[in-house]
Amino acid sequence: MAEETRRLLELSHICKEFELKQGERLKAVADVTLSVEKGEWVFVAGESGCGKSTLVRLAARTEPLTSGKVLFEGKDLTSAREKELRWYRRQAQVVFQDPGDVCSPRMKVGRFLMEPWINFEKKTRREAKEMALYALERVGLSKEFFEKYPHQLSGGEMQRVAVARAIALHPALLICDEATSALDVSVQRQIIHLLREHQRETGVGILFICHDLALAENFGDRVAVMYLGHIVEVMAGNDLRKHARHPYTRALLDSVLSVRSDRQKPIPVLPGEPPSPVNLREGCVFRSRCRYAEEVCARKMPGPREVGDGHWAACWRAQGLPER
Amino acid sequence: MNILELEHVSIVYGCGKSAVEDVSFQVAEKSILAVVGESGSGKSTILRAVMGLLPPGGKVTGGAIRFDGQDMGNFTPEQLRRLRGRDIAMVFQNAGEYLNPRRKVGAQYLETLGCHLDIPRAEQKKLALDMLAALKLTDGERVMNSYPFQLSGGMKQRAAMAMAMSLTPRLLLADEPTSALDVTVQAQVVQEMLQLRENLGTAMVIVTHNMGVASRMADYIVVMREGRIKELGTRDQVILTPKSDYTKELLSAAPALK
Repeated sequence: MAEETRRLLELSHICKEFELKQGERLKAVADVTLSVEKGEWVFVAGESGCGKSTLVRLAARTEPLTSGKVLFEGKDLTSAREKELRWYRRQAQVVFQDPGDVCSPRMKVGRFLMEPWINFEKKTRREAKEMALYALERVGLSKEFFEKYPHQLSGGEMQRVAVARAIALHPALLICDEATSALDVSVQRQIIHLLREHQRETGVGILFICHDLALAENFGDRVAVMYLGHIVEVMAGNDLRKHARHPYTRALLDSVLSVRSDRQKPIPVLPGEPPSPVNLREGCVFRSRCRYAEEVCARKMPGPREVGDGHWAACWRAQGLPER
Repeated sequence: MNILELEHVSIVYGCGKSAVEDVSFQVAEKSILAVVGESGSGKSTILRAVMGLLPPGGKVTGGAIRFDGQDMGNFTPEQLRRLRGRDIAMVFQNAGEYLNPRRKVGAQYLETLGCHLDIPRAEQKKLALDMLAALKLTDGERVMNSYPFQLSGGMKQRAAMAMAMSLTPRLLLADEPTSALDVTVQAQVVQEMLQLRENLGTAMVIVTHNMGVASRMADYIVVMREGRIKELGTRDQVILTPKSDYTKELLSAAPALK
């Protein structure tokens, strides 16, 4: 029972298929099951085209599902009507990669920050302004920003404004889609620490989509790795480098060029690129690039199997692979 | 022998804003120099200045840029045209945007070669396919017969790199060549660029914000901030024993795998 109440967002076997011309089908998200608990920071990592942005839209319920269920605090939102969705939009806020795209270029930062208060809380303009100023202060921006237009802000400042707006109404869940990927590393650090501090204060759950494994390892309570629409591994963040089981996760980790890497050693390169997600063949999605692939891998996509405490890998050979 | 020398170079943009101030460095033949820094540090501006591709209003207001010991400021447009492509080549972050979307990659590739090489078309094609193969694009025919949108980001970046390298330039300028790529593809391209240097002896200037890439590829590293050089040294000096506080900050800001 205790576990039930801690569960915030639950994605259960969700699928999203797009129909292309000539009857071709693109499975962007295939049978994904993932949850976020209260106060938990879950990373979803993967490369371009793996379906992680589609996953964001499904989790935010801005895109209809092909099948599966989205539950929030136990409520089934899969076929929710407008009224319920409006409630959900207040509970779950999204932060995007490019905050400039979110804020109208003709809207001053102040008005952008007042909007949620007027929209959801029916505050007066004066109250909303007070809240907006407080929001600026919380993300470390001075009052002067209230009167500025988006183009007068740097990328990092604008992202802080976007975060300020997202956390203003104390949502229970934050969904971040590559929220720091376009930023310089020093600015990325500020935003990450801002989120972490806010999480400690309020216990907000965070679903954080990114392709940076080092970030996931350092800040993620759990990390889910996606490849071609499937989640191939879920595990605790701080175990990532040492205990990753799935050959794809391992290849991703090997590809990160670390500052202190040994230049004499060749970079272990994963051959090729992900195949097209259109009309996928039977079998494991990763097998065409996997050096451990054997006959069984061509027959059927493996389901998630428990390989450790709270650690799941979708790999037929996960048990037999050597430790890293 | 230095192939490229910048001596007290300053660059100003049209609005009177100084983009680069008093920058000096040398690139020895066959060596790789990485220019690192965050957005707005002026690192891309330097490459554009060397290539003579500053946006309208941008101007080199001081100092000298020397290629092979000769001041590029004194070159006639005709001399510059011959230099570009043949001796100095450049690749950009988003190579796809520099390819014409309405023409097949092969046509654009052969046009580039035809501008500089007076050899029969069949030989041009062979040259192109060989270079594509060297960059691990084994199905070169398909790449040549594709429109840019039919190729993945990694393939476009490789095709652009192949175009640049086919004329065996002595200097390759690369502006964030791997930043738009996924990590697994980034690792491949880095590996292949190092291989090109090994095989063809091309000197490279690589602009990147990724310290991991710089550390892996460069012999020398220049750290820039707000248009000025903060630190300059060999790769080991800058990565292992950084002097400037800013370099230390850059090295520690990006989270690393444990």
